[in-house]
Parts: sequence; C-alpha cells; structure tokens
Amino acid sequence: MVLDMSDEEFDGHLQELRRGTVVLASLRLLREPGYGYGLLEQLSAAGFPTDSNTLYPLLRRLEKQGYLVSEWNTEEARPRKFYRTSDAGLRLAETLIRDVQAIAAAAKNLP
Amino acid sequence: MDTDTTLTERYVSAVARSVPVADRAEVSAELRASIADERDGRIAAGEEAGAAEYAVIAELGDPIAYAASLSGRPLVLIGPRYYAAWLRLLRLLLAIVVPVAAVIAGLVRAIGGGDVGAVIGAMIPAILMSGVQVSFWTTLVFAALERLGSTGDTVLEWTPDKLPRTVILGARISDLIGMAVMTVILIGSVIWDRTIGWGDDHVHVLAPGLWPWVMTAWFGLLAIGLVVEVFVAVRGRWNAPLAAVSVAASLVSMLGAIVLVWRGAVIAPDLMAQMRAASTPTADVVQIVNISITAVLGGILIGILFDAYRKLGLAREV
Repeated sequence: MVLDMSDEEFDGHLQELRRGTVVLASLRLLREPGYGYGLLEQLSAAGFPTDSNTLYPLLRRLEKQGYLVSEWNTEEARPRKFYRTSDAGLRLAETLIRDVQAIAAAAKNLP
Repeated sequence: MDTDTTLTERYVSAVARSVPVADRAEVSAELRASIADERDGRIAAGEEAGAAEYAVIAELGDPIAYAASLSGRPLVLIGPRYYAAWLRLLRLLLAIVVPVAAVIAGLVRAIGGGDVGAVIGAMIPAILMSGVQVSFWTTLVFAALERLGSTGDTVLEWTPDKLPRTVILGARISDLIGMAVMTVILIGSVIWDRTIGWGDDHVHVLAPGLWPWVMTAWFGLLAIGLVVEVFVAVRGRWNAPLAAVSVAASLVSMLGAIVLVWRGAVIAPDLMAQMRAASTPTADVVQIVNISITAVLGGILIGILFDAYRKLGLAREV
C-alpha cells in the first residue's frame, strides 16, 4: 500500500479522495476482460485497494451507464460475469487520468 | 469446496430479496461466484474454510444496504427531492390537526360532564395521538413517493436557468403533492373514525349512516379535485373550465356537508345523545356545534373560492 491507511482519524477523507480513482483504475484494468474478484486482486496489486462491497455495485453502475459491457463465461466450473471497458469507458478513463494529473500538479503548487 | 454452504446461500437470498425481481437471478449468480472466489482466495492464503467464508460475508456487510447500493436505491427515508415539501406540509398539518383534535377531545369530555382536570386529561392524549398519527402518515406517503417516483438519481440537478420566468403560483407540482397527501389523510381519518375510533374510549365522531353512499360520493368529489390538480400540473397552469370543475366539486361537498350537519346526519348518534343531555334550556349544545361546524366549512369554502379566483387571475396575467 502506498499510503499509511492505519491512521483511522483520516479514513473518511482518504476514502472520499480515492473513490473516483477506483473508477479510473477499473476502467483501465478492464481493457482486458475481467470478473469481480479477479479485478479486486488486480486493483490491490496496482495500488488501489478496494472493498468488495464498493467494487461490485460500482461495476454494475458503470455497466448501466454504458462504460462497461459484460458477458457470462460459463465454460469453467464456476460461471462468472466478465466485464470489459467499452469505447465510451476508454474515453472516460482518458478524461479522468488527465484530471487526476492536473489535480496532482495543482496540489504541488499549493502553498 | 464448490458446494454452497448455508451461510453463503443465506446471504445471497437475503440480498436477492431486496433487489428488483428482474435483476434477482443475475445478482444472485454473480454474488455467489464472487463470494466463492474470495473465500477460495482466503483459503489459499491459509485461512480455515468456515472462517474465510464468514470474513468474506462480513466484509460485504448488511444485505439490505448492499442490495440498495447494487440497485442504486435510496438509503434515506426522504431524500432532498421531497424533504422541503415534506417538512412544509408536516408543519402545516400539525398546526391544523393537533389543535382541532385537542379541542374535539376536550369538548367531548366537557359534554360528557367532566371538570377542568378531566378535560385537560382528555386533551393531552389527543395531542400526542394526533401528532403521532399526522407525522406517521405524512412521512409514510412521502417515503413511498421517494421510492416510487425515484429514477435512481438521488441528486437533484438544479441550475438558475430552471427558475420559471414568472412565478405561476397556480401550477406547481407541490400543490399536486400537497393535495394528494391531504386527500389520503382525509380518507384515512374517516376510515379510522369508522373502524377504530378516537382515544381510549374509541369514540366514533361520524354517523355510521353516512356509509357507504355519502362517503362514496364525498370520496368521488375528492378524486375529482385531485384529477383537476393533475391536469393543472400537466398543463402548467389553470384555465376557466378546470377552475370551474374544481370549484363545483368543493361547493357540492361543502354545501352538502352543511345541509347534512343541520339534518343531524353527520355526527354519530351516541355523541348527539350526549350533547343533547348536556344541553340546558338556554344553551343548546347541538346547535352550538352545528353553528361552529358551519362556520368552519363556510370559511374553508370561501378560502377555496378565493384561491381559485387568485389562481385564475395569475394564469391570465402571463
């Protein structure tokens, strides 16, 4: 983990700051199709640790909004719903990344 | 380890119960797979099977809250869309209904021959009960609106451009909502009066002879008023025919009520008998009550007529 999350005093604010970045990370990671738990692991490895009860509703919402498309994979023993980022989702990710960089740059210039 | 254990199944069905029927099968299947995946991950990391499953489900949290976030449902009883309307109407109803209930309860006890202490003793539970009833039913209606009327967006997007160019007082959605809630509460209270009655003694204020025909006619007139209000909300303003129908419905119900009051057909026979027994040669309680009711109904009628006239005038100006 990049940040020291043990400081409970700051938890609420950190969560709020990170909420949008999970969307961004998911959209980028799901350029390769992925399923809920797999993505949870990938996000954690990529430095975006997320709770399962945050991620699953988020995937559903992004799918409803058309930024993700889904497909059931029933070939394996355990049927899983696979999500993939749509073209609109890729454009959203681009915009979000530009914004995050702009915010980071602006934060550096703060007194 | 792929057999579903009880805890997972219990959690999945608790979530499934709280999502829309159309999504139920898919949500269940996805959730079942996710829990199994996470559990296997934890087992692979060295946890014991039962503890792993327990930890996964504990992390997902309350099934109702989880289902609500899945389907984008509001996790509040009354959200920002209706809060202001709810608060305004609740204050208005409390200001009207609670004093009226207190006076009626006190009057009933005074007629029944109670001293000051007994009258106050009868008024306090009436104040508490009517306050609770009004708050409960008003809140229930708005909580239902929040759920039925919600499109899933809980944030009301508002820009200054959305301000109407001229304020058309006669055509606001809040009028319609207010009217609908009032109608529900009126009908609810007469049904309450018929079935359960008020206070510890279960006093029925209205005569049973009013059922079913007079009450059906009155409900019909209320429905007409509501339908007119819907038309006005859809059109965006009042016009002469709509105002005429609304006024006619109010006239018929108010005048009808006044006629029935003077015929002695409105108040329950028991209560009439008590009022007669409490009368003296110089003070006929029945007559005093009839005059009071007529004054109140007449006042409401004048208010309605004035309101319709004002709305029509405002609609013409623009």
